[in-house]
Amino acid sequence: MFSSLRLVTLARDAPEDARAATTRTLRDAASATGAIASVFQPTTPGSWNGGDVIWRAVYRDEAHCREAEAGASFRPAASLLADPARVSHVEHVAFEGGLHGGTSVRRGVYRVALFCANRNPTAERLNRFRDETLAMPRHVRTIRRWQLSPARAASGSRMWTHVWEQEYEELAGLAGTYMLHPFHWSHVDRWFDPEDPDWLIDPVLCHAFCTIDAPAIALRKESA
Amino acid sequence: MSERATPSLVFVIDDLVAAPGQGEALLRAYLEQYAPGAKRRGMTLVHQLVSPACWLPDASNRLLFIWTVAGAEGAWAMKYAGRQDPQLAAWWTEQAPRLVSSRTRAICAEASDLAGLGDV
Repeated sequence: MFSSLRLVTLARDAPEDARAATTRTLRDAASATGAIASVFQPTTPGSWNGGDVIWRAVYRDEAHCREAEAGASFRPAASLLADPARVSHVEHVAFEGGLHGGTSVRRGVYRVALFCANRNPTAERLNRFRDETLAMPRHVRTIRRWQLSPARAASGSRMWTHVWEQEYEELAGLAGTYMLHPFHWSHVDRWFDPEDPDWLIDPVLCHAFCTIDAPAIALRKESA
Repeated sequence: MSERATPSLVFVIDDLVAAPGQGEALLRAYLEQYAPGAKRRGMTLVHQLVSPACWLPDASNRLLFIWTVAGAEGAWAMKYAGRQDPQLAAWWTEQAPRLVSSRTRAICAEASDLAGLGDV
């Protein structure tokens, strides 16, 4: 499986009907590109650098993704995404499914974080960061399904290196338990902390979440 | 999530090994250049310890600064405020390294508070 994820910020000064038309066109493209699965949902308030829309499309493989996003059905969306009068900003990552676990929720909250590991990213440090991030679901019991993927391609505010996704049954599992568990703030967060000698991750990151009524994190072929 | 009337104290420990002969200068710089901003971020300095208990003109002193913040919320408040401050990153990446050989930071809690902190 190969995923293409965009956090789309609509132009603030565009008229409301133009914003609605932009959203409609993007939504139409999301269902017309031949993606195996997609999430197209408004970003829930409380996100950071999460844009107005989370658009996550899953394809069979990278070639399928490339073909779909170069195809005629994607063209209206591509045109809008490149038009600053309609879309002011896009964060984009393309990635093959990474290490994952848990069981998808049928409805709940999908959260994605985009990180750029650009502070002395040695292999040893990246491995430690990956291992500790992957240990979070063992401590934060509200994470129902998760996936940590390296970005194959990225654009936007940073050259994103990591895609960290989770599904929760409810928002409190993210805003409460995930954020308040000591494994997070007293341990894993040191990779994000400019005060810590282990600092690894650029302070500019994306933290976006939305409601879902179907599993969002696609299964890899061997798990499907 | 269980409710707690008073959040558990969380300890932030900066463990600094001074460059040889720089122990006193490091203490002074830390207290003058770092500590005021830390206090504005909600941190309370409860200990400033030096080992060995005399300044070493030709070797390295170890300095431990022990701060407290109020629970997980206090820890996040400290972190969020710090991440908005480019001077703080400059302190750790440019100024402190002139006086520091090595350092660690640990965020800790009393053992008796772990169960409560994890009950979220």
